[in-house]
Formats: sequence, C-alpha cells, structure tokens
Amino acid sequence: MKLRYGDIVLTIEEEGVNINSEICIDVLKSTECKQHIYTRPIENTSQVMQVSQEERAETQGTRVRAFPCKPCIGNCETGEEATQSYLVKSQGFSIYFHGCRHMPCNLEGLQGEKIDILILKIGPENMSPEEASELVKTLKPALAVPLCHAPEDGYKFRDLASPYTQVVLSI
Amino acid sequence: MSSQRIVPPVTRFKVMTLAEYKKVYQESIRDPVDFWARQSKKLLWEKPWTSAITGEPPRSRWFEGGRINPYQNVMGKHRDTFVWSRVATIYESEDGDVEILTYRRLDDMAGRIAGWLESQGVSKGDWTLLYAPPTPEAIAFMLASLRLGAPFEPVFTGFGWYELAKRLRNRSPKVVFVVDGYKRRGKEISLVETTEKAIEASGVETKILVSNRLGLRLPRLHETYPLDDALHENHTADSRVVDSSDPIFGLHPGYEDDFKPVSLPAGGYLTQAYATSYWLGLKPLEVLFNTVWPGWITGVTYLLFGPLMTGTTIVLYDGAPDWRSWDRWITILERYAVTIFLTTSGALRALSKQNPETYRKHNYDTLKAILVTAEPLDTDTWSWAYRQLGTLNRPIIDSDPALLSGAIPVVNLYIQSEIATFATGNLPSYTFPHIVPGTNGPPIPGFHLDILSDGRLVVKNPWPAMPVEAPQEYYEKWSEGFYDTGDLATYATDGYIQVLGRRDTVMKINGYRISPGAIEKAIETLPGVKRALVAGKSDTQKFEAPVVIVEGRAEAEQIRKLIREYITPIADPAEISFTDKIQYATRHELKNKLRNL
Repeated sequence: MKLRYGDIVLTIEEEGVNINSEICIDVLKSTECKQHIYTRPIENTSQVMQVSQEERAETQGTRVRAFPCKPCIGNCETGEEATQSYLVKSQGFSIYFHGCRHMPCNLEGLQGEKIDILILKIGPENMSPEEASELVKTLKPALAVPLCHAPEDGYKFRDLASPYTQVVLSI
Repeated sequence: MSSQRIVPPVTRFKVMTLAEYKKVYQESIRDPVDFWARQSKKLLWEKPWTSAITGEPPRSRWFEGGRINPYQNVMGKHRDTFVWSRVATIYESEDGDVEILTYRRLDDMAGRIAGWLESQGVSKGDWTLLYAPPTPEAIAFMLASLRLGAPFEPVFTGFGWYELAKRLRNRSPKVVFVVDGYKRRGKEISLVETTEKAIEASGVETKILVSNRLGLRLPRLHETYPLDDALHENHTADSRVVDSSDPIFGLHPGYEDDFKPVSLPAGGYLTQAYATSYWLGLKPLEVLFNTVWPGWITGVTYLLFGPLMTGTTIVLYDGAPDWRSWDRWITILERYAVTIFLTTSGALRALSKQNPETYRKHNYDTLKAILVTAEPLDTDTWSWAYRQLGTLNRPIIDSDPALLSGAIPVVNLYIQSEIATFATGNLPSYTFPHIVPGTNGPPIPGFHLDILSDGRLVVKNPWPAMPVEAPQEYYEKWSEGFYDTGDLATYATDGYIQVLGRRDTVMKINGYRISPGAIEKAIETLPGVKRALVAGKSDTQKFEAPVVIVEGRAEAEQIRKLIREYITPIADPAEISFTDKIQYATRHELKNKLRNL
C-alpha cells in the first residue's frame, strides 16, 4: 500500500516500510531505497546501513535516530534486547517505527516529540494488540499503521486504538 | 408498509420512547424560530444577529444583522484544539493509493489556494465553480472559496458538457477548478475535453485551475493554471466575514423544466448543517465514509460542511464501488476504522444483489451506524442492510453474528436541496426512537412536516437554510402558505414519514434528482426532432428510469449518445420510441400512463 502524508510517501510492505525511497526500515525484499536499516539483526546486511544505539544517520534531509529496546519487568529495565526502534524526521514530519518486541519501560528519548505517524509490528514475535494500543495512548500519533502477521491482531488493535488515533490497516 | 418496530442492540440503552420523541418534537415546532435561533448560538458570530427571522416565506431572511466568518466556523475554530492534528481527510484512489491530510495540513492547502484565488481577483461575493470528484484538493478548493467569502458551486462529474455549460452561464464563475480525471473500473475518465467544450459553449470568460492528478494534458484554454502553482503560493488569504444572508454555495437541482440554480445563505445553512451533523453523531474521533459526491446536497452538507464543522474524519473515494469486486466499500470501512457509513438506497440495493459472503469475510466492527438517503428505501433492502451489513463480527448485547440478528442502526433519512439538510430520520445523538423499516423515520425537530390528504409532503414552517436565490418554481411551491416538497408520502406506523417518490414529473434515478425537461431540451437540439417528451417509469433497481418519446426522425443510439454526453449517463433511457405526433400534451399525462401500465 502506498500512503501519502503531506510530502511523505510511505510504501507499506509486509514487514517494513519504505519512506520516500530514502530510508527503508525492515524491508527485506529488494526495493529502490537509498538506505536500508533494520530493527533487529538479519543476515547478509553488508550492503546496508546499520544505525546502532543512540546513533544518528542523515541522508538528504532525512534524519534517523535509533532507540535501543529495553524491556522491563515492572518499572525496571532488564537490559538490552537486540532490537531497536527508529525515529525518522523528514519533510517536517516525524515517523516513529517501533521495532521493539514489547512496550518500552519509558520513552524518555521521545519526550517532546510530536509523532505524526506510528508504525508498529504486532504479532507473536512482537507486541500484542493490547500493548500496541498502550503505545498509541502514550505517543498520541495522528496516524497509526500496524504491520500484522494475523488479520485478527490488526482488527483488535484497530478497535482498541481507533478512539485515540486514526488507524489505517494495510490490508 | 412495515409495522415492525426495531431497536438495534447498540442503541438499546439510549433509545427514547415515542412519547419522549413527540415531546421534544412538538416543543420544537411550537416555536421553530426560537428552536433554530437557539441552535444558531452554537456558531461563532462576528456580530450577533438582531432578528431571528424577517419577512414572510419564501422570502424570509434568517439571522438578519448577523455577520459570520464561515471559514472560522468550519475550519478555523479547530485551531489550538486537539482536532487540528487529527486526520481531516483520507482519500483512497481506485488504484488503492492513500492520501492523508490533517486539519492543519488541509487548512494550509486551503489557505494557499485562497491566496492564489485572491491574486486572480476573486473576492467576497464572486462565484467559483468546481468540476471534480471527491479528492483532497477539491475539498481544499471549496474551503478556499469559503475562506474568501466567495460562494461556490460543485458540479457532479457525471454531468456532461451541456449541463456544465449551463451552470457556467448561470454562475459566471471567476475561477473554475477541475481535476483532470479519475479512474472508473480501471479506465481513465478525462474531464479535460468536457471542460473545454463546456467553457467554449458557455461563452463565459473564466480562469481554470487544474489538478493534474492523472497526468493528462491541460485544457487548451486561454487562462489555465496548474494547481501546483497555487500550492506554491506563499500568500495565504485571511478568512472573510459575510452577512448572514450572503450565499455560501449553490447547486442546480432538477426541476420539471430544467436544472436551475439555488443558492443557500451562510448563517442559516451553517446553523442547520452543524446542528443536524451533531445530532447524527458526527464529532471528533468519528470517521465518516459518505459515498455521495459533492454536486448533490448530501455530498455538500455531509461530506464537507457537517463533518468538518464537527471535527470528524472524512473518507473520500472516487472509484467504482465494484472495483475490483463488490466489497470495495466494505474494505474501506474495515481499513480506516469507519464509524459512520452514509450511502444511498440505490447503492444498498446494488450491494444486496451480490453474494453476502463477499461482505461477511470482512471485519468492520468499528461501524456504529448506516445512514441511507436519496430515493425511498424498501423494507427488503433495509432488512438486508440491517442483517447482512449491520451485524458485526463481535457479539453485542443480544446481537448474534451467527444468526445475523443485526447490531447497529440502519437509518433512512429524507433530504432535499432546497431544505439543505436531513429533515426526517432517527438521530443517533438526539431523538432516537425505535426504527420502523421502510420509512424515513420521524420528522427531525425544527421541521414541521405534514402530509396532506392528497399525499403531498409539505413543510409548514420556514427553515434557516431556505434558499436566498431560487427559480420561480420554488417560490410557487409556497403559494398555499407552506412549502410543497414535490414528493408524495404517507404516514406509516407511529406517524413516521414514508416518502413514496416524486409527485411531479421530476425523476429520481438511482437517487439522483434528474430534470425531464433538461433531457427534452437536449434531444430537441437534434435536427429532425420537433419535440421530445420524457417521464420516469418505475424501475426495481434504479427506482425510476426515463422513457423518451420523440416526435420526428433520429436514431435511438444517437439519442442515447446525446443524453450521455449532454446530460449524464445516469439518465440513459429505459425506452425510446419515435412517432409523427406525440399523443400526450404534457409530461404528467405520460407519467400517469406509465404508472397505469
């Protein structure tokens, strides 16, 4: 699905997203994209840019900031997970791609950020629809696009999150 | 006539009794001027009005002395509220591409277009016109006109060049906005040639602003500008204040003789549009999918004004409902978390003919109500919509998906261009008594409706949006001291209104109000044709279909082509016959004959 939001064009793929053909996040198949980045380690990534923890990358006016995922028990962080999320700023918009498997303990790094678009993964290896809707309530994005393995997860997320944001299912 | 009384499960705890409804309604019509005056206070007035109503209908003026900023009441009031960063429009093309604008971005687009319009000399009171499908830039163009206090006329793109030329002549717009085309079942429908032909035929000197959405060539006309020029405009015009009775927009509803201009007043129209939209349940966080395009009153009041005034998100789709399959609209409900679906009886009838499994495989559990308008909605189609579309996947109270027992309300509402908003129907956020299938529901508070002994549906009180410009036919319809809608109706169970169709010879074809006289005039332009007579006959799918009798010589295919190109493909005749002398003196005679067949 191709989604235009202001001057941003997102191509929503099964696992990831292509942002203005500048940055591709978790796009596994070959697409025309200047930079490929991933939320978790994958094989054969020698040709792609790795944005490590807290590191920033920039390409033609598009800025990317990585956030390491820190799962928690209660309110305590339990260390690092080999996954990360990204905040992409392009054309005056903020896109947050949540690659963590869980709801993070805190989102300090995003404090003061007005998120326009939230893209999140939902499924057995990722957040549950309930966790994902909690993230929506915290970040209050204008738009939320879930990437789901099972349609039922998408419906559940839509029904829980749509009172707080505009959900678009990539069906 | 149905005598069922249905209370949908989701409304079980909020429905009011008939007695409660009657109390609210009777109170509203005891003093409708006071009722609407109180509603008008929900708008933002730059200068409060001094008289709620002056003059006698049909020439009454509402909220005299009042000055109002229409743009502020539709868009500007959301600035500095959470609505500003909410999604205003979601557009889906037939190809499936999606475009999203927040209220802030839509305001920005409208401001730039308004700046460009101003630089082209458009100012308060000048007419603009648009010939475009429901796209974000078409919405922004209407808002841009509103911002300048320049009334606009949206022309349905199903109308051909001859009808477009008529509207150009009647409005003399300073600027015409056109989208170059749109897709229909995978085929490109160009609006470029129609626009060129209409402007040349009208003789009107105007400027053309073109959205080059499909990348087609620009119209070969003297002053043509691409929309990108306007969007790169750095100057954004301020929003203007107008008098309450200044026209805000206009349409050309179908009358017996022709399509004729009607213009609606700013203060009264906005009062009615806001009140009825709020009563329907439109508000921030609701997502409305209205399948009726601008160019028809439902597409102006409930695709543009009402939803935006209430901070609702609007879904726009300009493709075919059956592309690539008949579940396209249902996919839209599912994908965008639509909460309110507004469509026509004809569309529901077409959907009901398909395999129900096409729809049942989808999950659109966010839906709260199905609103239906245009021509009458028969009990069978209502029942199909309630059970097949209106039973959600998730069980609600005693709604069982396995039994298709229905969950959400399917509400039929009556509207007319001259009335400007819905005037009957159950209102999910105001007066919601039980539903009686097959009826148009009870009258909406503020509209004193009555059905006379001869079946005429009339409005006995003036209403705020009553036209400030209308053809003679409209004024004549007030000759007995009340407004004769031209529709036939009957009182159904519990005093609900059941509209049966037109009493005059105006046709309702697939919900579209089509003038038989306009078709006759077009046919009579053919050499060899002395006279044409057109009337509607009953049709199970379209409600009515035109029957054409031609006095003179022509080919049937030539007539069909002419109607398609001059008027609209909607008016494709069911029958065409030729004769040396038409035996009917009037359309009424022909209509009566067709009714008795």
